[in-house]
Amino acid sequence: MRWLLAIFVITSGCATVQPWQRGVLAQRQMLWAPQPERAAARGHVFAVREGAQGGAGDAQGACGCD
Amino acid sequence: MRKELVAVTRSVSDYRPSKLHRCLLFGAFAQDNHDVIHGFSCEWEPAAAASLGVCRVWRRHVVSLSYPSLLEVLRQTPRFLAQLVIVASCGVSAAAQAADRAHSSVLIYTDSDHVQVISPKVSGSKEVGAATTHASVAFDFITAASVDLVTAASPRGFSETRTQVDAGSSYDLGAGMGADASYHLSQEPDFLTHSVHVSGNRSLLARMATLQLRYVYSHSDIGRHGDATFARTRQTHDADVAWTHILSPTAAADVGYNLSIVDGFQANPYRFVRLYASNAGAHDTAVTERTPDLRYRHAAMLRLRTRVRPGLFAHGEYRIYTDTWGMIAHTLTARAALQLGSNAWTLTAEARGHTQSAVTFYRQRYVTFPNAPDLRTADKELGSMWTALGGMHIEWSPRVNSAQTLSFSAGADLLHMRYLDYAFLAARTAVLATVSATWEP
Repeated sequence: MRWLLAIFVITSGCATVQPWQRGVLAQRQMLWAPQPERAAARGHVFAVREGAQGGAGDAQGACGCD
Repeated sequence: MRKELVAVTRSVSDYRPSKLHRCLLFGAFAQDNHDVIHGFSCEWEPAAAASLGVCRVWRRHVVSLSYPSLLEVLRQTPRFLAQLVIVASCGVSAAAQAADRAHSSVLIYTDSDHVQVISPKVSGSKEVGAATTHASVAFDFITAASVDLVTAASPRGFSETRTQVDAGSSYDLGAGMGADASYHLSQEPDFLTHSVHVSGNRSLLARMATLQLRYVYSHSDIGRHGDATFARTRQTHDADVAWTHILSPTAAADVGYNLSIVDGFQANPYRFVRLYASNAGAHDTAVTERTPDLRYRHAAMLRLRTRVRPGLFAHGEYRIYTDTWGMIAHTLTARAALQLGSNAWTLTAEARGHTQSAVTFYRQRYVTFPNAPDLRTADKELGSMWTALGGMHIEWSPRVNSAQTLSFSAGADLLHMRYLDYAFLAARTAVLATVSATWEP
């Protein structure tokens, strides 16, 4: 938990990114899984072929551009 | 454009995988500024195995989906892949009739341990006011004769079909908040799972961060083929919390934690554990698997996403996992995406490594005969192992007009799995191939 807290503290100090500066963040290539269907299918393979499934959640978007 | 795509359909127009099958494809594929138009049909005369086809003749279409023999697929791979592209695009076209986003894909998994899976999927979503309704249907067609069957009661191959149907809605609640609820059904001949997903997200810190919460409840009914008296259940509670933070105009980070509580039958009803009287020689008997009914699984991940320079993106993720059965796992993923040409093409390369320890009750040999240990498993995925994956993926997203996007993508991954303490198999290598099409009118 200590490293999670450290990351939160570090990121809390980031300068505010204005809406007009979020063009790059809104690009599909910035998503961790730009094709969620493909990611889900591969995730199913990993869940079956490895013994440690779960945990990634859905966190990948949220550029705050909406 | 029109000439190229017509040529593709012609290349499979004389598709005849065997004397028992007859498959005819013909027609045209054209694109204008307002719609994607397909025109072809497929006929077949299946014997034991069916064929795969989706038919749409201009704006009147009939969608039908069945499946060709995997052996035929392997023999006809180049032609089959061409057919998959058409099927994927036609699936999208059918779904796009009533949707704001439509997606169709086919995933193929084949490995050196004689397991093959083909998974076609069609999904779509449509906005209605502040809500977006989404639905999908997917199939897994599985044939296997893997080493797992060595430890089964009746060693022989099998073929099976899994069907999954999802439906739900997401809502824009305003003020940077959103919510989603969906229902999922997964059905196999001996396995039925119902799950309910609910999730929500909220922008915070002047939209510099987003908090996401998700909860999934699943209930499974587990049976055993040929044994009407066998009936087990399993419940799973799955909760995620994730925090996304914008670090700069070109970088973002995600931190997440997942808790999964699995309660119920978690062994394989077909797998048997061999018991030995000594450290050498053949086994003396075999008994059914028996694992704890309760498993608490924890996972945490840290992810960084950044644009290195215009047109080049680099992402990385580290994930750590542990559970109450004693397993600890680490997974590292690195990914780079490069935009090519006029940014219509995106080439993505990925590398992934995973390592895990064994659960506490896993043994390569259970030298306990004539007694059976209280907890025992022959599941090699519960032993210590590592996997390595390398893959490439290319996507083509031409903008049809200012508001419409059509994209095709194809990718392949090579997945190597190394089992460090499993007697019947040291390693296995798999290929995952995907072909997909997405239409966002």
